[in-house]
Amino acid sequence: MSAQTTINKIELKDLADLKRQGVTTSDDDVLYYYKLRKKLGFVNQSGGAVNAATSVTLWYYRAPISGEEMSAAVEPIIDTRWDNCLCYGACFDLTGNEKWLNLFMLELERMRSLELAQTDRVYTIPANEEYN
Amino acid sequence: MATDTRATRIRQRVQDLIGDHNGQGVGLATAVYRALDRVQYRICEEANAYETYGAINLVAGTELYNYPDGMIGEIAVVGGTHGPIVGSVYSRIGLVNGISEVTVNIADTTITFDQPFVKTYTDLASVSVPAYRFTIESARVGTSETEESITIVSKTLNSIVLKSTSNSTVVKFLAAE
Repeated sequence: MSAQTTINKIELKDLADLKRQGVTTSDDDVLYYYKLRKKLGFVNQSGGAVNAATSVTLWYYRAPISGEEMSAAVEPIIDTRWDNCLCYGACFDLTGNEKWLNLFMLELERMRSLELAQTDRVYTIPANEEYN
Repeated sequence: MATDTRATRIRQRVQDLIGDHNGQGVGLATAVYRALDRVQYRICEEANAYETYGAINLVAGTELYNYPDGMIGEIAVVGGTHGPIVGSVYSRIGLVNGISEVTVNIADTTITFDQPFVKTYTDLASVSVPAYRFTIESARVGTSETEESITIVSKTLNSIVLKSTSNSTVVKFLAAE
């Protein structure tokens, strides 16, 4: 398996079929991936586990993790263009005043639209534990 | 306590907005930070506000691998060595002018970027930018600047479809954040 292995996504329902294929003599160098219970699975085209060390790159959305919780010494992980959204949301969280909630939602929607307008997320799939 | 960090400025702004400038009531600093944490997490979840990437070194005979910490949504898994697609990486170098010129003929022309979906430009010192981040900075026919002769029909992660009204339109792209 080379470092330039082609990566294809498969559905869980396809995984079973793939694993029944058995050994193949094809020269195609294809790796398949799927998601299962908070894990990423990789199998080769024969349905077996990877048989040689290689590296793949995973692009993903993430949220703050332990140790990244904001404090005087820990900066936000999201970009500065979300600062208004952060502030309005925090104001609502602290006061319960719907004025802030409305501002937060408007700003969130405005920023989300901007983000979507700038990117084509054709590879985006839901963060479900398993594929739908 | 650290002062004049982005976090402290945001915290102070929240305190000002709710009228508790010194943080002695509902705007207590620790409470504000906890609120900001909750909001930040919500923004990440609802708006996919933060992207990152990481390498997974597969091990012979092993099939399942844990998600990275904090992962809330997958964008793509790609093989081999590829440049970043996240804005935060190349935003540090700012807008980049004139990174590519492509000659386009009169028919719809698809500019396909290197697979899987990035093109590395040597003058960016190995920084890679996905196709969908590009806009047309300028176009010319011969030596004459033209705006009408070129349009972007569509964009995907790895390609831009251009339409030109003139043969040999030269397009200069701009990589925008």
